[in-house]
Amino acid sequence: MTTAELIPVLVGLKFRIVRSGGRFTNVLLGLAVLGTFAAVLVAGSFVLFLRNVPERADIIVPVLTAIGIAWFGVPVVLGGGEGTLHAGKLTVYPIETKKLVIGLMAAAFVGVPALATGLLAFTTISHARSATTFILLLVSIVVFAATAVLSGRTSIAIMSGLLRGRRTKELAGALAATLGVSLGVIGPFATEYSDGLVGDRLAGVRGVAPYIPWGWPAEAIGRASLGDVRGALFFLVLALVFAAGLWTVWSRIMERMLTDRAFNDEQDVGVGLIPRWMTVFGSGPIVAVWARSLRQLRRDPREFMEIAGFLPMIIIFTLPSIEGLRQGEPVAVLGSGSVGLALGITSLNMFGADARSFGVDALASTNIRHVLVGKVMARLTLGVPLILVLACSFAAIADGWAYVFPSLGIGLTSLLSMAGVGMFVSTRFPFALPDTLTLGGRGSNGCATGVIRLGALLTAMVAAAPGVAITVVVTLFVSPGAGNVAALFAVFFGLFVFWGASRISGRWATNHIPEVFQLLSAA
Amino acid sequence: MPSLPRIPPTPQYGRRRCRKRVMTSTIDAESGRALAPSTAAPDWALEIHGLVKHFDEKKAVDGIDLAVPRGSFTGLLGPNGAGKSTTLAMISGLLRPDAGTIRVVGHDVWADPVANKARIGVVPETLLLFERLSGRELLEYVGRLRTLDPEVVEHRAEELLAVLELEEAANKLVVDYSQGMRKKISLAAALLHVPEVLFLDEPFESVDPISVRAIRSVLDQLVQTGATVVFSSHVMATVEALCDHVAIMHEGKLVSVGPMDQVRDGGSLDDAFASAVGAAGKIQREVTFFSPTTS
Repeated sequence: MTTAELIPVLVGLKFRIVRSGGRFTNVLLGLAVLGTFAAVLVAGSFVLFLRNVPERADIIVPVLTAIGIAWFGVPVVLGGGEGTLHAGKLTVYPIETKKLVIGLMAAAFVGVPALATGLLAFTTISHARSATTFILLLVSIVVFAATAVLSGRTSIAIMSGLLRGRRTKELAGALAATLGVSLGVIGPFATEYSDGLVGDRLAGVRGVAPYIPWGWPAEAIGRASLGDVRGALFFLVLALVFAAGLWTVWSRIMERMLTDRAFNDEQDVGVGLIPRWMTVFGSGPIVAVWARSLRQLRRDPREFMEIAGFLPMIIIFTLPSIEGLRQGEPVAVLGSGSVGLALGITSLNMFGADARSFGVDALASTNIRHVLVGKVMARLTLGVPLILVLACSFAAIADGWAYVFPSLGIGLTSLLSMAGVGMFVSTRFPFALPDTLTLGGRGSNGCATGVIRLGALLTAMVAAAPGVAITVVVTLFVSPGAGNVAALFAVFFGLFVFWGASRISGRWATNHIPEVFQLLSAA
Repeated sequence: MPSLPRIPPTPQYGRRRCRKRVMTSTIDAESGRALAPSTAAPDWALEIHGLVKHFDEKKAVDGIDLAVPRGSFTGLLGPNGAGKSTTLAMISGLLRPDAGTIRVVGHDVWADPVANKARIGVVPETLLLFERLSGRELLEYVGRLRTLDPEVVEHRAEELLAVLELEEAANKLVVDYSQGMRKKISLAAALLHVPEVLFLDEPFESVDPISVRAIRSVLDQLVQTGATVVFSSHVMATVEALCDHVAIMHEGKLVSVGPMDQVRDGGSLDDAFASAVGAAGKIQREVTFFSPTTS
């Protein structure tokens, strides 16, 4: 079978699968197509209206860029796609892999999202004011649609192929969900801070588009719409390169998936629990828990979801700092320390993600304090570099290098205080996180869990307050240099809270293993 | 005509020494309880006196007395809800008893739970493993948590992985393991410190025959070193093949206990079990709406 013969077969097959998969009757299918056209018509009318708006590219480019990114990002969150026309099912037929890959790509254009994307982009053709811009727009629209569909297929192939492990998919899902929550929360605040100047905001977003590959075809359309032929050609070439890159990545993954059985095997993880760098800290139980917890945080995304659940509050705390940075105030660097509070949130339920495995710790550990301290060490390993990177980034933006060390002190104090309170709460009121990745389910604890954790968060803030307050006051009202000394004091204060809490909670938990075990098993 | 390949006979694990020791507990005729073992008994791996556990109104364990001799292979039998898992959880320190004492190799479990951990190994019914660690990482973790020397942990882990046929899966995450593999890695974790007494809750449940053979082989080797194995099970054939002693629980009470031959009393363990839990002679009710089909 030649490629030309194969393409209509696969396109027809995809059309039938999409039609029967949605359980469409002919009437429903007709209505769905009409609905799509109507939606595109409304959007198209708006695009047509933009024809005479001088800033039209400032609206077209961000919208089309967002659509392109959505094509890549949505399969990460929602999954699916590969099941519609499962390539694996087609390998039993005598079809050359390369031809199959081309046929699959052609079939990928069949579907309501692809149709809607193509039609929406096509409405910009109305902006053509000459034969040259008409051709440029036409080619750019085709490249845009192709890039969008290729992005979707590549994303799906990566998800089902390269990121084949369950944990990687979950991690990708968690990160995408976290991003979604962040955007959802930031949106209203960003609107408030932008003084309602949506046009300015979009113009700002457009400024970023040339640096994003998905913005290149959109920029080509936007520039062609303005009659900027040279600019449009430049971005069209970039878009073609990007599309070719996506095609190469996707086809390679597909070919490998279709020919290499071992590719689908479960992934082996590295050998050895304790990384080489960690051996300088010894080989005792704390180091073992530390290493294990780092793996847990890396391989199990539910703790990230925990942060996502508290993200709105953290964003509210940091927004003034972000606004300060926007205005170039060096002191806004101190806001980076609040990340310590955010990261410390997972300390409020340290046994949550591995609740079902607490039995291993309970049966093997001679002192639960080792387990608690090891878990906190893992959080510090991730948290301290992050606070430092953020503080340095903020300092670079606002030229506030003098505030980096105090910021680190604030972050570390928050993290240690949170960990200290977290040890207490984690042992007295532990609860198992649900196995599935949802922001909702919290087992059978009802609202009590949320209330306890909110109380713990506020307690941790109070516990951290002396150290943080002294650092902030000295830095702001004396000097950033004196703030460094205060930061050092704050860290020692945080260590004291942490040390004391670890002794009290460790002793209590070691003597109450059955009670902790029962609470964690109950959910 | 070529001869058919012969399947070698299944070795009778644990039966060689099983009749050397005699469990001294006997059932009290009036109360139905096992009498406490004689204090003169030299060497008990496990001694339980008056163990009680309530869950709200329900008495899950109702004052059991039991003694298990060292070096024995003891099966804990009972129908669902008899209190076997509750008893094992209390012995292993994961559940606090309401009353009674438990001594493992002469030491009170609840007076010094930390010391008890060093003496026992436990494979719980619900395998609570760190699913995001590989099998090898899990063993290393457990070994270090038990403060064993890292080199010893590495050596023992490799050997246990090999003996339990987990070498190929050693670097895969536990979450991707089959039920049989999970049981085996859990057993390896419980054996890493070479416990004096090993408690297993339903170790052969949902396990394929090949894995059962591997587990049985390891347990037999452990018992041959003088260690004691206590395990609960529903599978009479396995208990009969493995154990030299048996204890039958019913509704939280110990209703029959002793050496295997004594409990069987010349019959099968199945019959002895049915008799002990009051199911002997019970006529199974028939389904009345079944009728012969014509096709």
